[in-house]
Amino acid sequence: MNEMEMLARMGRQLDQEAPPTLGRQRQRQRLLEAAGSPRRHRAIRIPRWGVPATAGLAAAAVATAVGVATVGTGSGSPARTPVRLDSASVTLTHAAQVVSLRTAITPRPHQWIYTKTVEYGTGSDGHHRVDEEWSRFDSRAEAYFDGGRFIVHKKSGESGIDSPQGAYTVLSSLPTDPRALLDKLSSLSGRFDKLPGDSGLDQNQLLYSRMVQLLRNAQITAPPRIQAAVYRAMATLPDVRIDRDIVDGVGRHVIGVHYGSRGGRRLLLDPKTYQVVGEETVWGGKPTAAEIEMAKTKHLNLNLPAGTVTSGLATEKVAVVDKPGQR
Amino acid sequence: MSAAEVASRPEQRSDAEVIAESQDEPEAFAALFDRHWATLHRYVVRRLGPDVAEDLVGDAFLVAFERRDRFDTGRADARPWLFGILTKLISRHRRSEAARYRMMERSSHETTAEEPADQVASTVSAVAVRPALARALAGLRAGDRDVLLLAGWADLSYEEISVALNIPVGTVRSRLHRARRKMRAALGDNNPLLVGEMAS
Repeated sequence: MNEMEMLARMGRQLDQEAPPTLGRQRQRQRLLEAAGSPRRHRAIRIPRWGVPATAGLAAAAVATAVGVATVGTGSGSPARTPVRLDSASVTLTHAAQVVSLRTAITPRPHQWIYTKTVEYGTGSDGHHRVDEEWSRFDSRAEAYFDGGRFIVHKKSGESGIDSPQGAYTVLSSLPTDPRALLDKLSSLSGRFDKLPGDSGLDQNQLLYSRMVQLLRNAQITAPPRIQAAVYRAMATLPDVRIDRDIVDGVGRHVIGVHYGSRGGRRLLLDPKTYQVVGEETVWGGKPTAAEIEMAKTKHLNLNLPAGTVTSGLATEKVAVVDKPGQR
Repeated sequence: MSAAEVASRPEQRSDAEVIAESQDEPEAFAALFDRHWATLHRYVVRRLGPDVAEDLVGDAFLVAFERRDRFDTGRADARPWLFGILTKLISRHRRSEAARYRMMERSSHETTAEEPADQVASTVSAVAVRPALARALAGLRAGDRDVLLLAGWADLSYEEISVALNIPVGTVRSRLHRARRKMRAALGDNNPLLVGEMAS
């Protein structure tokens, strides 16, 4: 039994120990009263969330979502970098050509993938957090530092889509023709992470999300010809967009790839190698509940232009090594 | 709630459709309450205990109702959105949450006579690790704990947690890995219930 199963069991026990719920109907009534007279209930404690809807925000909301990108470094006012929209298909087709020429990196099962990541932005408690981990390619072990102690932990060897080997296996099974690749991806539904409301997403968005999952998880082990095909397939999706000349939270110039135009999440690519080097969530101009709450506790300035990065993860280094602890 | 449960609901409209309808007919929003109350309530009881859970979930629905125009109707399922609101409300109770875990860390468990015999053994072993789990939960950074519990107690996927907390999926993954390591460390290297460690 692993720690997640123990945690789940603890949760079920806490359910059993809890007294029966008596106030459900009262809470439902509160909601119905609010629904009947929404203005009246704004006097309760919740509306503090509505305060940041200021003129500044309204101005930010009318700016185009990709007009300006600001990279949140987590310290004070972030640096602003101009962004222009480029043709996504041109960039992704070029990316496909570049990656198809690189040398394939296929680790042996007992080799390790070393990853060093940096978490940044307003969602990381205001400062960067560096994390190093070693994951054995056959998914039988992982290693990490815990409070100065180096730990190597055995794992089951199951390689789901979340593991480098699992993603590598799926990628290796894909055809190199972009159309055929998308068709194959449609048929592999059971293997991917559940999306919020899969049925409500359009098919292209779903396919895009699956491609991102595969590239993110396979990292440098993605077979070059397939990775190129994935970029070509992305280039065929009409709503895939590119942000050029942006700077990530660790100061690197990168290219952002995202779906649709409303802020949200973007994948970061190295502008020379077109390898995946990070991910970010981007301010779309309208604050989410989470962002407003953060503004209250983390002194985040909500009068930011659309395009501001609220949270990011930079992959600083990925390497195949023979032993855990090697970098 | 599993996908199968969603599919078998007598109510066939998606959450997004309910929310869309509530723009013109606010009372329609009650359908969202009926669908998700139990799931959200159970989650808060686990984290904060029964005393504050009812009011807090009630508040979450009021916030959701006020902000329903901001729901991304491209997403049929409102759970990640609701859990995102809930998580922020829970964050105001950080101290009492930590106190609850510390209390669990100290308390012992007595099995009841009604429990079937074959369940007693597993209950005992589960309860034996509860203090360690509780200690680990109390010691996690808030952001890591949110991700761990949305995965472990709310059964949200990486993608869903990413939407709920508005962070990249890679960050969800990285925080979850970190939190799981802390849990394992707290459970002890020699815990027979865990897969063991190798010498490095």
